[in-house]
Amino acid sequence: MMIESIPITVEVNGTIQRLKVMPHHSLAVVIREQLGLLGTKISCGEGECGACTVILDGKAVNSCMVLAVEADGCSVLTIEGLAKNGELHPIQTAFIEEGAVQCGFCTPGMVMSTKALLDENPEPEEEQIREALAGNLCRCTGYHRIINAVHAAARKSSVHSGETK
Amino acid sequence: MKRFNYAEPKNLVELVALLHQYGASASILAGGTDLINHISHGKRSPKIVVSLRGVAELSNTVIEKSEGIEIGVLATLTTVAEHPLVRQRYTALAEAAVKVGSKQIRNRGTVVGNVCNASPAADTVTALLLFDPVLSVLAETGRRTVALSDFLLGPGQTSLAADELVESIFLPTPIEGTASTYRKLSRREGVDLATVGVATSVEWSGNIRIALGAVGPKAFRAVAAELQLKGNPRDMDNIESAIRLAQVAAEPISDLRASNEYRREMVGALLRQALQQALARCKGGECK
Amino acid sequence: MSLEFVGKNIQRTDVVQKVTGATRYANDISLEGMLHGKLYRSEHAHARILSINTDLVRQAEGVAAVFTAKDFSASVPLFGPVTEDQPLLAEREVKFHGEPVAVVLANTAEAAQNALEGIHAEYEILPAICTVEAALAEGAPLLHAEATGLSCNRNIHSSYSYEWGNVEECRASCAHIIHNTYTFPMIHHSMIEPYCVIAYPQHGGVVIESPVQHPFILRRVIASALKLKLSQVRVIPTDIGGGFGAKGYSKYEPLAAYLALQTGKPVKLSLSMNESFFAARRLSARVAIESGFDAKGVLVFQDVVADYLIGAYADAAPRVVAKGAYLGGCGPYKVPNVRIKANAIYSNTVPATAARGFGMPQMVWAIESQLNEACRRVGIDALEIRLRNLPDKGEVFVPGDTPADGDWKQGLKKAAAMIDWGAATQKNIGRSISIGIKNPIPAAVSNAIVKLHADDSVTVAVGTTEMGQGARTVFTQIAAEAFLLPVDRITVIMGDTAAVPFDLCTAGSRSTVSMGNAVQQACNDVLRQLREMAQELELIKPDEEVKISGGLVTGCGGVISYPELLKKYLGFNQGEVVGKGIFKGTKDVSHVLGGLTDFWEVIFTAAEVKVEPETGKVTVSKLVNVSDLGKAINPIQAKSQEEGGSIMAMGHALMEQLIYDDKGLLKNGGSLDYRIPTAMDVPRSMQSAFIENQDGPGPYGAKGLGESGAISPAPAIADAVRDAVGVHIKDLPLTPEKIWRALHKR
Repeated sequence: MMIESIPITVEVNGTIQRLKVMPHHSLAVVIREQLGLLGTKISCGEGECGACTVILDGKAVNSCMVLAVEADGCSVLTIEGLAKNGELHPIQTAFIEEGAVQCGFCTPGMVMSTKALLDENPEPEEEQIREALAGNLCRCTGYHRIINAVHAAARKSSVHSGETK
Repeated sequence: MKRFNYAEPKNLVELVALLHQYGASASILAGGTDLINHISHGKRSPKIVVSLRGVAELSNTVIEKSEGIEIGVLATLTTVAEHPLVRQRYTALAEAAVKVGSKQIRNRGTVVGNVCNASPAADTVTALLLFDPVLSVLAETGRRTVALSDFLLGPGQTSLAADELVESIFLPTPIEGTASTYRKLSRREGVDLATVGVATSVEWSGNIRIALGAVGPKAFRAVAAELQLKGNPRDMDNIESAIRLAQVAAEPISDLRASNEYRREMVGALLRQALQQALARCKGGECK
Repeated sequence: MSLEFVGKNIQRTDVVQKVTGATRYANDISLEGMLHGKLYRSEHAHARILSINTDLVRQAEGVAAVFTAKDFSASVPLFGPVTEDQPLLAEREVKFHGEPVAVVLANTAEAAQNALEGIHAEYEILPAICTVEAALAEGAPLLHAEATGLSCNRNIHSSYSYEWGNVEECRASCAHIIHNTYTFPMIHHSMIEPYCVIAYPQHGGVVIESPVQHPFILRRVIASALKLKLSQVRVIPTDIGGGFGAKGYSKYEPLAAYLALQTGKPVKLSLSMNESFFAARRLSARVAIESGFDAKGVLVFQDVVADYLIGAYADAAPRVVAKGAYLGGCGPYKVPNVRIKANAIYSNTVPATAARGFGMPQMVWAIESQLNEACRRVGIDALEIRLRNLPDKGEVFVPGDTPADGDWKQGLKKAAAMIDWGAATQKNIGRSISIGIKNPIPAAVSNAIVKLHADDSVTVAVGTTEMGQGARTVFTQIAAEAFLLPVDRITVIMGDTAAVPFDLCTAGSRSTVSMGNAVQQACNDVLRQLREMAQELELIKPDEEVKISGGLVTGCGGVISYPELLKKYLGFNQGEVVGKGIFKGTKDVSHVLGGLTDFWEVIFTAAEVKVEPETGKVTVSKLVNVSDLGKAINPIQAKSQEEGGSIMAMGHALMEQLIYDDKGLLKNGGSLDYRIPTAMDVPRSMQSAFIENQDGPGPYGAKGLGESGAISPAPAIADAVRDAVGVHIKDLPLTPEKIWRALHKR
């Protein structure tokens, strides 16, 4: 049985992309290899580390756990889609200001999980932040400053209300 | 990951026809969080992956029916965990669903998928068992219904035939005033499989239900313990007697997560906590 | 001295790239015509290779080449930073589960991966050794029986003994003699970026791009293994997505270099996180320790036998053992009589290597736990016994080495105060305190080159690598301070062995002190040259008081900017001023480690825990770290280093361990079963503070830090558990089951 690529239409960071993808390719692979968006990282490839987190139709997902074909007709936001016209998103600024970044490998996924959380819940409690980030492993920071950064980003967003949307 | 073909049937007729055609060489894709790992780890090698996302008749929500709720095959763990009716009437299920994997996993993975994966440690399965769940199973030949306890056969094994799919799970409305809870012990707080899972519900009448996870080849109701507690669930000595019965019913294995001895003991510790919490909720009238 | 840049929370200079996903890690690099390699690994721990059938694979779609040991022109090259005992691919025998046996090169990673399924190997299984006991047993099979020049008696790669005073004679004077054995599990570094290397031929040699911490050591190891000249091997380190020692020494780079030279093409080997579990781990250890105390709890002697289990190949493990043993008898304390013997013992497990703390977490776990036992016998608390044993500043505690270089009692008291030491606790809540110590790499060299360009921007070229620890930013601050130029005028080039001068390694918390000094010296060298240029041009007089800062040379005769000066001296748009700096650690050939300790890296950790007796579950509710770091060049970076380290340590204290079965198979090699702390596991309260007495040998009185956070938490957490519920656990990690068993005597 011949296995052929499948055409999909997906909005990535606000741009409509028409792609032909192999059925067995994950969204992570297509984002990186076909779209060249290398900010999305692949580490465990089994939904445990969260390095590949993107926002699919408003929800944080592990892009290694989603087949690219499943994204047909959906909208995807990757780390590259966050800063606008060279201006950092308040979440990115908060990560910088709170010292929440070390090696940086988990950072894109962390930022995307934070974005999804704050979009859904602009004023999260500490426990909700921890729960929202539990699927993003970081071995450098010990999470403390990342959690602080999410609090700080929430404060920033409440000042410029609606900005994270 | 090994190559496979992919199909997105548009309706149930197309879907069941595909399942009939491909049988065991087809894998059904709902949330994919188990399936994709199974394929990439070589545990399953489907010729074709059949996605449910385009099937018009299938639901991705929790539907309120006159005598209960119906959890659609595409309802994610997040959807179920956050559903107001689930939180109110089937609290243990909401608590279990939110303890499965990470936020990212819960945003994709489905309760039905969690059930069909048939892990002895599946959090939602343990919680569901409290609520007399009935699965609606569909094949080209027609529909059948099956109780969850009959559906589960063993680790990773269910009564689902190769050409069948579970389209929904029906949970009858619990008796007014039932309170429930799910307790889980794991190696770490965030994102982990249950070392032991205990779900308990309490009715105003004093009827108790207990379901145990990760302490046998499949999650199950600890019936003898339930009977022991019936009508007398607050008496400390009686609780201890019931715990012993639950522990006897448990057949845990030793593995990376814990020894069988510890697991059996933790059935007691968690059951004690779960009962306390469910009884408190019931007393507080939260369960109305 | 008022400082403009040093001591300030200057924004990490590479952080915008990191938060926008623009940073390019090794796996993001793709080269024209690149071949992708995938490794076929042994499914046995110890076995003789009978045959490897690769016929099917060589014809497979997309496959360019397949290598097994038989495809090497001569015998398979061996590599290793200490002992060259590890083959690029297993030759006659596999020595650990997951050892590479064959490699497939294909035009895509997917094709290479799929082709692996066509490989079939036949083995004769041999008995596997996975514990200290098995390795040392009479008649145990010898892992490296064929090796020559090694003390392979009973699988011991090497032993390290240190002794002072007389342990035997002082016993009688002890009021308490305490003998315990502590174990420390195998730990995986679990950096989030898996291993990845790209190698390609260039100028008759080979270029390696890899997230390697020590490019110059890698250059040496590859040159030696492949019989190349140092100048033929160019290592370009990529930004490192977490190192912690895992990426310190050669792993797959020698193989990639060989394949690139053989095929004439760029070769990429990119591993999954799960495969990383087959590459490296922290040494496990069994530490038998006998400690004598007088009636007041003052240490009289320590007698220690530390058996470190290294893996199937030496990697850097013997050095870890030597360093761990060095302070393994005394820790940070004055101990008049010490005897320690430490063994590096081979086993059929994944090669063990450097890991944050380099042998010290294992020893500190034992030493600190002994003090916690002693204070109970003496009837004083964990704080008091430490105060009674710590040296004062300037006091020698390791004979022949640098005296205590900080006010350690001050730091200890600060940590105690931060955790409300002595305040009453509720039921099942406990507290304790511990001290971590480490000495950096002795007699190590760092060079730096600093170039002032014609537009008064600056390039700093160093061999240090950036793995998130923040060295790039620290050097930027040091250079900015030297020139009083804004940080955006400074660019730091890191690691390329063909472009930057020699540096030993990025490890051992050494870079701020050693490379920091070299950078500062190189900046001063530039400033000296500017002054000489101004004098030569007679812009200033030889004896004149001159201020060279902020881009200006200011003398009595007036002011000239750096660019103007360069233009006048060198000509329009020509040249630059090149400064050189070197730092050499105190070399002493008579010293057992080759040199004296340049600074002591000391940290004080206090922990508060809550234990649930019904389940044995421990929650660390509060973690406090105080570092004696002389001067924080970048306070927020320094604090976050210690916090990250201490959560890593909380992992090995509570939940982490690699598990091998009796056949030597790794049972939990992967993110699904090897659990590290998540955001939900970390303490509610994390506090970090410093003792800044400017008493270090680094720039502005700095000492190093970064490893220390990972050294001290385990004993503090374990003793806090004991304080809470009374159980004394000597084997890490403190799993709920272990605590429950101890509580219920099961």
